[in-house]
Amino acid sequence: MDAEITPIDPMLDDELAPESPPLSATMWMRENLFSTKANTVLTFVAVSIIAFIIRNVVAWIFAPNRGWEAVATNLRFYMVQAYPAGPEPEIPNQFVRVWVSAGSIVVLAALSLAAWKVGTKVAFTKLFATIRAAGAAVALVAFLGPPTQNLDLLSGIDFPVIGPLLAVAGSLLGFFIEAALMTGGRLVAFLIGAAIVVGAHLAAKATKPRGDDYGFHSLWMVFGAGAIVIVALWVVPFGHYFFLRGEVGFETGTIATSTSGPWTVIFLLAVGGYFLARWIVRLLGEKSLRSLLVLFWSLSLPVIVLFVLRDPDFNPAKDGGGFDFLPATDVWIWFIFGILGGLVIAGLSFPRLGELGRAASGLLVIGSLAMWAVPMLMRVRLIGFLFAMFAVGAQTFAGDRRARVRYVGLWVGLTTVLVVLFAAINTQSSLFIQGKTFLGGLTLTFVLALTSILLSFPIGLLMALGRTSSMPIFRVMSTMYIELVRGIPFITVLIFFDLILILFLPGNVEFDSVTLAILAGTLFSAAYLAENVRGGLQAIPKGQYEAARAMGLSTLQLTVFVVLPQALRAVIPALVGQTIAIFKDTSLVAIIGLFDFLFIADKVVPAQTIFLGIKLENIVFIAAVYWMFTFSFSRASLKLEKKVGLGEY
Amino acid sequence: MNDKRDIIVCEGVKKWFGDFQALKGITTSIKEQEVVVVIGPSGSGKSTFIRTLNRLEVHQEGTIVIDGVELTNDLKNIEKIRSEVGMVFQQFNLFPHLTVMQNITLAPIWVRKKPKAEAEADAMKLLDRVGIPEQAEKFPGQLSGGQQQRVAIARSLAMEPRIMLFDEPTSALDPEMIKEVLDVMKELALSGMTMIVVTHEMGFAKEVADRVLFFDYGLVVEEGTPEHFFTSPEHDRTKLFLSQIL
Amino acid sequence: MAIQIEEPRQRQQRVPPWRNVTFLKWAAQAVFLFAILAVFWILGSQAGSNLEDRGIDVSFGFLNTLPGIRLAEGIDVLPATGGRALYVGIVNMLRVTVAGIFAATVLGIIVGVSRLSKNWIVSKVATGYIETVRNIPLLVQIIAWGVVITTIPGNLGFETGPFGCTDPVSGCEGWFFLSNKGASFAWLFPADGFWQWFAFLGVGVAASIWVYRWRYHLKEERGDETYALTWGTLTVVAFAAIGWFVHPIMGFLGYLWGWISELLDSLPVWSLQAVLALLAVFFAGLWIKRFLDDRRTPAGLAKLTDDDIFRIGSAAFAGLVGVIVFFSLAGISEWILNSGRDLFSVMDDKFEFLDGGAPLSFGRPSLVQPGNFPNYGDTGLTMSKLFFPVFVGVTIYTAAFIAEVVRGGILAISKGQSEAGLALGLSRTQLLRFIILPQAFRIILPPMGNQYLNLAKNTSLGIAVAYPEVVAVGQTLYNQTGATIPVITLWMLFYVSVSLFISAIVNWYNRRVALVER
Ligand SMILES: Nc1ncnc2c1ncn2[C@@H]1O[C@H](COP(=O)(O)OP(=O)(O)O)[C@@H](O)[C@H]1O
Ligand SMILES: [Mg+2]
Repeated sequence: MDAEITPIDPMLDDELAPESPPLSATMWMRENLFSTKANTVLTFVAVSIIAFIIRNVVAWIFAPNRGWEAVATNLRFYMVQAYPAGPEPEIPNQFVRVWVSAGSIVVLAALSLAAWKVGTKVAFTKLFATIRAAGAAVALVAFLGPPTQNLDLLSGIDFPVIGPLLAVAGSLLGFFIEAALMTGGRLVAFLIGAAIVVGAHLAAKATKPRGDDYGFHSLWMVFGAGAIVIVALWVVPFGHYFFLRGEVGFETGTIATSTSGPWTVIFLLAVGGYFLARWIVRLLGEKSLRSLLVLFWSLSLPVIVLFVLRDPDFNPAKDGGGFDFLPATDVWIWFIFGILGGLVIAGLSFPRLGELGRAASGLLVIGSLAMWAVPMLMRVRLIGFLFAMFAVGAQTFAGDRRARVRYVGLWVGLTTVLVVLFAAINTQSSLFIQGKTFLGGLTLTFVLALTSILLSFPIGLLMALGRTSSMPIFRVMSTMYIELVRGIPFITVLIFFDLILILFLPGNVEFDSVTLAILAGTLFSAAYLAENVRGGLQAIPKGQYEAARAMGLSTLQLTVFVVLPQALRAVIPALVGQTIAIFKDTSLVAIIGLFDFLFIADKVVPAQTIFLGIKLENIVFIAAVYWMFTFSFSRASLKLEKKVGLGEY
Repeated sequence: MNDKRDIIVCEGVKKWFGDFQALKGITTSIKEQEVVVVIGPSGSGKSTFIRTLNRLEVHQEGTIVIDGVELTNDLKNIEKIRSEVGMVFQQFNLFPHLTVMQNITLAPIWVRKKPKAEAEADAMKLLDRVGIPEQAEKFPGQLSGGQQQRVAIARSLAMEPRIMLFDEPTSALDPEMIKEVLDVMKELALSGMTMIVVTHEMGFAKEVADRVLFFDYGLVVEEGTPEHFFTSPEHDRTKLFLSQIL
Repeated sequence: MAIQIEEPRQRQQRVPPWRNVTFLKWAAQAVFLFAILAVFWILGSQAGSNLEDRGIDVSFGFLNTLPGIRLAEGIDVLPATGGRALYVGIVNMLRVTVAGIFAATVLGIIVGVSRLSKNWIVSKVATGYIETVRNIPLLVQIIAWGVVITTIPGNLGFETGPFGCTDPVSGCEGWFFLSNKGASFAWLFPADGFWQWFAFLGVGVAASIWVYRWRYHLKEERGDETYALTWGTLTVVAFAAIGWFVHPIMGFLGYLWGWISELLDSLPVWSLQAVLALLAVFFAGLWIKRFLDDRRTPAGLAKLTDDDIFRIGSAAFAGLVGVIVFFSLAGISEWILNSGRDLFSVMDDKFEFLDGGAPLSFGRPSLVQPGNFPNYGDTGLTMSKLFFPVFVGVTIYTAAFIAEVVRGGILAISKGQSEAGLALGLSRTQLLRFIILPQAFRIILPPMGNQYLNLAKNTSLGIAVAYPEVVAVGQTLYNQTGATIPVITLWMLFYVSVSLFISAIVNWYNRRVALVER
């Protein structure tokens, strides 16, 4: 083990790209690789390990008998599972819905980039250095790639004890000699890599004198990469794999045939949207655009899942002709809670009401709890509970007249959204769905992860407050829940919800397995979130509470205005980590048989007659996709963290 | 002075922390517009005493009546007293995630239900009064200690209290900043605010205080006017304490 | 004292309950508690009627009946009862957990320190390892390892055994084999007399601690080097060596265990019930007495706050619940007595080898080919192809997190300390060995315990590759019997006990460290 420690700045080595070498490369190498004898040995050991790994991985990837076409053929399956896309004539092609969903997310992202002015200036020198590193990586991989001739020089020698050692040394030596004797594709790849290195190096040298100010906006890199991908979709020859009556068909062509058109449209819309948003920001300032985008983002998940992808059928044809308007009840719920309830909240929010208001909202809370004891629509109970919470808050959060109007408006808006969503959930989907649900593959993975984390947020927050509360019963209950859930593995929670929850509910209640998985994920991650938030809560000095109390803030106000903003800010890294963990944990639903990303790779594709038993390729593929998402997310969060850290303190 | 009515009346106030008795029966009363300085050795219960006056600590025995309202576990009374009693802490306790302006307007908007514009106008006046109007949009972390403490005073004043409590307001400050805070407090005292000040600034006590309370072991050992207190203390403990700090 | 303390005025005027802070506080909690209990009650009664409608058996009866299942591996592949099957699953789970904890700790420390290495390549390799491993779901990795092990050629062991294998039919030995049957390697196994030797070693450890303290004390007195650590180590080694030959003398412990076992067997159940109930009362009473003592001042009892009263009430209530539980559920006491008896009789068996001989035996893996296919013999330590993916998966995955913990701990310490250390003239290696690692260990341990806990929980993913650990066995059981609720209850009990156990160790260590620091 290397015993040498450099007291380096931890931020420094978070950059994966090699730091730009100082003046002389040899000096850098001497300092970082060969400073002592032990260090030199270490370098050789590490190099051998890397060489061994790269070589075997590359050999494996490019082996002629690899079944990558199993992945290529099933790409659509991986993304959305059996979302109706034809070509069977009896199933109407609804695939445009997927494109609308993907497109709106990409465009929203582009607009947000403009509204939050993301991006910095990147110096050309730095860009070329990165390209140089990439080229070097290509060349290195080609150099270490799969062997074209076997030069295991000393194999066959079989002395006791020394024999094995000699054999190892011999194959290492042969390995390097052989690597130098490249032919065919390896040689081409190596030369391309080398050319990139040389070109980028020259360019970097040429731009260096102009300094770090000589650069461009980093978003151009994103757009450029996007453009390259789009062009590649149209021109790179790869061939198109497809299923045709149980056989794998193949036609020559580019990487994508059916998807290149939609992606191009989406890309152009995104770029156009970006510049439009920039223009709007310049014209009107960013504030209104930002709040609009926040609204869109918060509605995006339910709208995309429940409306765009699911296509609820509000007016199904009746048996005897004519149509049924299903949400009739919901209109009433909306009227009673949204409008009449809004009036009640408006009344309760008058400061002069004093104790009477407090008593009234207390009664409302008890009433909303009592609603669970009598048979009633579940959505009425949920909205009723929210109503009681809003009523309790009315005294505390309604300030002057404008604040009161805003508060009531918030309630009416919230009820409207909730009623519409509940109505959508309760109708049949008009899609022709083959599997259990309309969600599957990577889409399901994302929906599970995002929904669980979002729903678990309020629960986790409450539980954290409960655990740090001075009231013993709240504290004990929260602690018990948190510790119980954190003590058991997620898979048992999933199985619990999958098999058992149904036993505890009245016979007429039914959940599909996706909803059950979301419930399990929500309640599971709530416990972890609560612990993270608790960390933030404990970091808040006692004086903050005292100052707030001395100013006359109520417990609720103190929590919302003073405590939570500080606590949440302190735990952003932990929250991001929790989100990543949930994203990874969703793969466990494969064990209970949901058609998520992993299940398709593990069970579905390897069972297709033509790809029977081709498993490792599929697993490697999904591993790469998972990695891409989690890695980029954690990187983005690092940036966010720095920004928040630098911010307002 | 004697024609003013009592605004704070304490009788036999006792307070335990577990098995430790921090207040052993405090009986005193404070008149309107009076400035009372509380001194005493560390751990003698000074902070605990003034913190019971706005219910940051709950006293377990005895009565506290503030402006005719008795401090019990009656929510309404507590709210009323908290809005009449402002407090300034040794560690400032500004909210680091809010700007100076937001710090000051938070309570007026949400507790007094003032319109935001009015609250901000009032806040500007207060910032003027404590001498830092130009810092309104900064965050507390960007201010010096003296400035932070002045913001804290302005924040308390924004609730238009009738009584102000100060718990060692200058103890966490560098010497050159102490004066700017004391000046604000003197100005406040001259304007007729009822003040209870825990402090080790004897100059301030001599100059501004109407009365001095000396605390030891959870009791008021001696009280009197500053002249009397500093020139002819009666108790040995007081003499010892004064000899140590003067 | 000059100040007269007046008697407090008569009681404060009455406060209406809806304005009374104390009342509101407890009322809110009572309503909450009531709501929770109501929810449980409603769910429970609903479940009862549902189960009745569907005719599902929710009793724990399956624990004592023949399950008719065959487990892929474990100490008993044809368990006689459901309870035994779960027990086998638990042992399998603990096996992979303990092995994983050791391997992940070693690997994690290596990677964590490497990541801080001054050597650019070494630190990049470590970083690459961490970033790759922790960003891929563990389940995906376990499944991948499961596929990898089955794609290794079946005869790999024959060809690449370091010493070759010339005669596969009669079997041959090597040091390490890997094939699609799993991996097998050389190992030390406990032999007859191992437990006596182990007990002797225990005495040795106690002795060595004493020796260490004595030498250390001497050093403080005399001031010159007394080699305390060396002395302590040598004591243990000496005991191990002597014990190798004289371990039968510890056989007397066997009689002791046997006697305890018989004693437990002869005790009537009610006696234990009475003892347990008395203990419950005693501890509740003790707690309350301590609490009141805490509140006692020289001037008499301090005024109790509402929270104090609640705590005392809770303690009394807990004691009462204990008494009721122990008396109404005789099964608990019976179970304790029986398992105590079984435990000691097993220990009695372990200590019964009274003739000397090596307590440990060394075994090298062997390959045998009784029929068409080569198989591992029973002389090496063999990881089956089911054990392998779970073990390798959790080890590699957890090691990445442990590495980050180690790195964080070292960085947290090294900031200021390293300069101080370097100023003292320590070399970098000495700095790491004497200053940074010991301190970093304190910071590291709590998050490390967390990682161990995660590892233990993550072994449940073995279900995806059919490794028969407790979750997989439980699933097989409820598929056979329909007893889902009991099985899931047992899972939760088991995992909660494991996590309580691990956090108890961490807490104990933390408290110890905290004590030393004072
Ligand atoms: N929250 C608390 N818990 C336990 N003891 C406390 C607490 N607050 C104060 N004390 C104790 O009460 C005594 C008086 O404290 P305090 O009023 O802060 O003294 P002073 O302000 O005069 O220095 C001290 O001995 C202190 O240790
Ligand atoms: Mg104090």
